[in-house]
Amino acid sequence: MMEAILALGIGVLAGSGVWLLLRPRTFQVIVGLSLIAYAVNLFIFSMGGLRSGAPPILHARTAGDAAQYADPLPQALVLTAIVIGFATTALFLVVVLASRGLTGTDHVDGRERES
Amino acid sequence: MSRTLDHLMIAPVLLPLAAAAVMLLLDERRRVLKATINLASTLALVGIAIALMRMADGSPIAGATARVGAYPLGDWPTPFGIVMVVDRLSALMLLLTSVLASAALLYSLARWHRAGAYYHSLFQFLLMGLNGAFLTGDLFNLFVFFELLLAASYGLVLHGSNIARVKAGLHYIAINLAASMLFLIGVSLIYGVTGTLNMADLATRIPAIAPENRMLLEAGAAILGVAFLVKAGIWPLGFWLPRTYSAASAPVAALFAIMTKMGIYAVLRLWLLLFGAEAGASAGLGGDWLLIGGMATVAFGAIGMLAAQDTARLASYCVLVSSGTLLAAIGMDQVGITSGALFYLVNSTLVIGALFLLIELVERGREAGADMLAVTIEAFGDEDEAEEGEEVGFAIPATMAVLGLAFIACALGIAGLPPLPGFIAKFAMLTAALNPSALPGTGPVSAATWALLAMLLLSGLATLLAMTRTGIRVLWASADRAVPRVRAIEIAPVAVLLLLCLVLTVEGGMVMRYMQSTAQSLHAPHDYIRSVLSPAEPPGDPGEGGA
Amino acid sequence: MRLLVCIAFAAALGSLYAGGFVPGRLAPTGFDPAFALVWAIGIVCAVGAAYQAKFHRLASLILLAGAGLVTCVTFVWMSAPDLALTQLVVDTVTTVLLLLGLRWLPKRIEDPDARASFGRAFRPRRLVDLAIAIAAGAGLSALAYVAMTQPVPDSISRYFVEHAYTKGGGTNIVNVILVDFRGFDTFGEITVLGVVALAVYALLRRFRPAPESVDIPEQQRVQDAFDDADPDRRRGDSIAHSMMTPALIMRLLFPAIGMFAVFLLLRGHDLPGGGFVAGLTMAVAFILQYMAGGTTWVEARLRVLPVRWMGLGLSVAALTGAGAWFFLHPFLTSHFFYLELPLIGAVPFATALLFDIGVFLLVVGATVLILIALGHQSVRAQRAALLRTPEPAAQAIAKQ
Repeated sequence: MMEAILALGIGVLAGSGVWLLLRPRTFQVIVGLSLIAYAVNLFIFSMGGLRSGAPPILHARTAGDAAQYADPLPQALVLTAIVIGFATTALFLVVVLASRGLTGTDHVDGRERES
Repeated sequence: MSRTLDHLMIAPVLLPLAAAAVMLLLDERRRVLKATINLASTLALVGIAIALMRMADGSPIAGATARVGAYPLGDWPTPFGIVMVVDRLSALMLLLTSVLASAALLYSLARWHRAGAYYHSLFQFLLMGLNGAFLTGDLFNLFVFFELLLAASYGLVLHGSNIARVKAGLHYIAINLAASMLFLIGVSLIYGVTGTLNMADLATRIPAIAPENRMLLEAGAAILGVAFLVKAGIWPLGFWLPRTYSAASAPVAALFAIMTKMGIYAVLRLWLLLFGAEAGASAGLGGDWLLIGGMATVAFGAIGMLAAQDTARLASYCVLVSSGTLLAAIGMDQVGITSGALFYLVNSTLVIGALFLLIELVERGREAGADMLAVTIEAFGDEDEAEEGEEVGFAIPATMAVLGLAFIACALGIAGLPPLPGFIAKFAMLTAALNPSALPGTGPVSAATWALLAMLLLSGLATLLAMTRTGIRVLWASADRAVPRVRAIEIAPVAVLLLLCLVLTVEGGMVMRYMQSTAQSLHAPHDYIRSVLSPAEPPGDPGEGGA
Repeated sequence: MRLLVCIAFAAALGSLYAGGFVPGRLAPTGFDPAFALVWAIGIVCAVGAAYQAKFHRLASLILLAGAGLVTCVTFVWMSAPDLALTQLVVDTVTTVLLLLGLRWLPKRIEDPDARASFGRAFRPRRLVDLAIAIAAGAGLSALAYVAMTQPVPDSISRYFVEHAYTKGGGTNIVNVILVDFRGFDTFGEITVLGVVALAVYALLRRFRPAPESVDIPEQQRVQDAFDDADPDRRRGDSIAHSMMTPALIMRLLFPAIGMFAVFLLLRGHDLPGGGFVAGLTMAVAFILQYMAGGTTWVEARLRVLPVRWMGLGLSVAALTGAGAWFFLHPFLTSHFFYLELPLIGAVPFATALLFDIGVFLLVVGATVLILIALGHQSVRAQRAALLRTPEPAAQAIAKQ
C-alpha cells in the first residue's frame, strides 16, 4: 500500500506542477518547477525500493550486508539532484525578475496578451 | 602508454576548472590577466585534445594500436565508480569544442568580454561542462555535466543582458529545466530496472533484462531520449532554439553551435551503445522516430531559413537543419551513413560557428554607429564608462571584400557545394545510403533512403537560396553606408575556422578514414565495453582503492 | 509554446504503454494510515499551491513549503535521514529566495469581472492544459508504481554498502558515495552551484526593477509616516523597535548556528550531515543576520567576499582530488585514517573530509552571493530611484 500512496503522491505533485508549468505567469512556473522537482526527487528515491527502518548508516564499523540497509545510491543521486534543482530555481527566479524589470510584465512571453 | 598520458584524460575537465577557479580569486578589473589565462587554457585544451585523439586512434609513429582509454575516478573499480572514457568519438568532439572555443574566445576579446561580469569564468565552466559530458562514461555523471554546461550557458546567454536576451533566456531556461527533469526520470528508471549507471555496464545488462521489465527500461530510455532531443533541437521541440541563438551575443552563439551537437552526441553514443544490434529485443528502439523527427526538423529548419528576415535567425535555422540532418542520418543506423554524418557534424559545426561570428560583423555595418552605441550603453549601463579609446588589434583594409568572401565561403560550406567539405560529407552519406553493401540481400533502395536523399538535396538547395538572398541584401545593398570597422582579431577567427574547413577537404581522405573507424567502433561497441569494464592498463591498482 | 513540451512528455509515455502495462509482482507492504494521512496533506498542499499560485502568491508559497515538508517526512519515513536534512535546509533557503524575489513582482489583484470574461475565452485552453497535467501526473504515478513493485535488480549499490567502511572509511554510506565513490558527481554539482551564483550576480548587477515596484513597500511607508508624525522618533525607529528582540536573538544565534554547521560538516562521514548541508546551514546563519541587522549593517561588517569563498572552495576540492596524483593514483582517490585529538578522541579523518570542506566553502559562498545579490537590490533600487526622481518620490512620502 505504501507504494500506491507514494505513487499517487508523486503523480499529484507532478500533475500540479505540470499544470502550473503551462500557465503563462512566471511565478506560477517557478512554483510548478519546484513541485515537479519534489515529484522527481521522490521518484528517483523510490527507484531503490521502499524501506522503512533501515537507515543507510552502518551499525558496526565493518563491511555492511546489503540486505539490511536502504539502497544508498538513489539517495546520493537525489542529494545531487536537490542541489542542482536548488541552483537552477534560484537562477530562474532571478531571470524572471530581470525579465520583469526589463519588459514590465510577468508574462512568460514578455508581453501582455489578454490571458 | 605512459602514466602522464593516462592522467591527461581528466585534464580537459580539470584544466578549465582550475582556470575558472583562479579567475574567481582574481579581481574583476584585471581583464587582461583573465583574458590571458582563459586563452592559455583554451589553447592548451586544443593540444590536449589532439594528444588524446592520437591516443584513441593509435598514433602511427609510435606504432601503438588504437585503444579506448578509461580513467577510473577515485580509483574505484569500474561499474561502481565514475569513469571517464576516451575513444575516437569523444576525442573528436573534444577537439571540435576546443577549436571552436578558441575561435569564439579570440573574437570576444575584441569587445564582448567586457560586456558583463565573470565572462571568462563562465566561459571556462562551459568548456568544462562540455568536455566532461563528452568524456564521461556514467549516465548520472552525464546529467551533472549537462547541468553544468547548461548553467554556464544560461549565464552566457544572458551575458550583456538586454531585453531580447532576457526574454529568450527565460524560455531557454524553462525548457531546459523541464528537459532536465525528464532526464532525471529517465536515468532513475534505467537505474531502477538495471541497477547500474555505467554506460558500458548497462550495455552488457540490457540484453538480459526480463521481458516484463523491458517496458520500464524502454520507457526510461524514451524519456531520456526526449530530453536529449530537446537539446538537439529536434522538431517540434526545437522551437526555442532560433530565438535563443539569434538573441545571444555572437561569440556565445558560435560556441552554442556545439551545444546542439552535445544532444546529438548523447543520442549517438547511448543509442548505438545501449540499443545497438546486441541489445536483444530492444535493439533499434526508436530508430524510425529519429529518422522521422530528423527529417521534420530539416523541413522546419529549411522553411524557417527561407522565411528568416535577419541574418542571425538564418544562422539559427542553419543549426536546426544541421542537427536534423544528423539525427535522420543516425536514424538510418548504417555504418557508412554514420561516418558521413560525423564528417558532416564537424564541418557544419565549424561553418556555423564561423557564420555566427561573421554575421555580427556584417550586421554592424548595416546600422552603422547606432547599433554599436546601443551595445555599449546596454553593456555598461549606468556603471563604469567604457574604455572606448582602447583598441584591440587594428582595422583591416578592404573590409567589405573580406566579409563578402567569408560569407560566400560560409554559404558554400553549409549548403554543401564542391570546394568545401560539406560536399564530401553529403556525398559520403548518399553513397552509403545508395549502396547498402553492408547489408546483404537488400534489393531495391528503401523508401527511407530516397527520403533521406531528397531531404539532403532539398535542404542544400534551400540553404543556398536563403544564403544568397541574404547575402545580396546585406552585402550588395546601398553603397553609401559606412563600412563597418572590423578589427583583425575579429575576422581572424572566422578565417581560421573557414580555413580549417578547407583543410578538411584537402585532407579529406585521412579525415574520412578516421570517421569510418569511429563509426565502425560505434556500431560495434565491444572494444568500448571491454576496455571500460576491465581497463587493460589501470593507472592504479583497482583492488586496493581507497586505503 | 510550452504545450509542445508536454505533448512530447505525453508522447514519450504513451508510445511505451503500447508495450503493455504489467503491474509488479512484489508483495505489497502493509497499509499505514499515518503515512496515508501525511500524503493526504501533501496532496492537498500540492493542489492548493497550484490553485493559489496566480493571485495568492504567499499562500501558494506556504502550500509549496507544505508539500516540501511532506516530501521531507517521506524521506525520514523511508530511511533517508540525509535526504530529509538536505531537503529541509534547501527548502528554507528556497523559500527565503522566493520571498525576496516576490518583492519585485507586481501585485496582482483578482478582478471578478475580468475573471468571468477571461474564463470563457480561455476555457478550452485551460481544459487542454488540465488534461495534459492530469495525464502527465497519472503517467508518472503509474510508472512509479510499476517500478516500485518490481523486485529490485542486483544493483551496484551492494558494492557501496559492503565497501563504504572498509574502503571508504565512513559509516554514512550516502555521504561516502557522495564524497568518495561518486565524488566526481559532487564535484560537478558544486560547480553548477558556483556557476549559477556567478550568473545570478552578473545578471543582477545591472538589474532594473519594474517601475511600479521601485516604491518603498506599503508597510515601510506606513511606518515611516508614523515615525515622521512623532517629533521624538527618527525614520526607521519603529522597525528597529519592533524587531529588537528578534534581532538580538538572531545575532546571538549566529555563533550557535555556525557551530552547528561545523558539527554537521565534521560528522558527515559517519552520521547524517556533510559539507553541503553544513554550507547551507551556515548560509542560513548569514541570512538571519541580514534579516536582523539589515543589509547595510551586515555588509559593513562582512569581511569575506563570497566570490573568494567560491574560488577557494573549488580550489580546495580540486587540489584534494589532485593530491592523489602524488601517490600515482587517479584523480579523487581518497585516503583515510583516524586522528587522535586531545579531549575529543578519535576523529575520523579522510581526505574526503578535505573535499567536503571545499564543498562547504563553495556552498556558503554561492548561497550567500545569491541571497546578497537579491537582498541588495532593495538598497540599490531605492537609492537609484531617489537619485533619478527626487521630487516625486519625496512628495509621495510626504503625502502619506
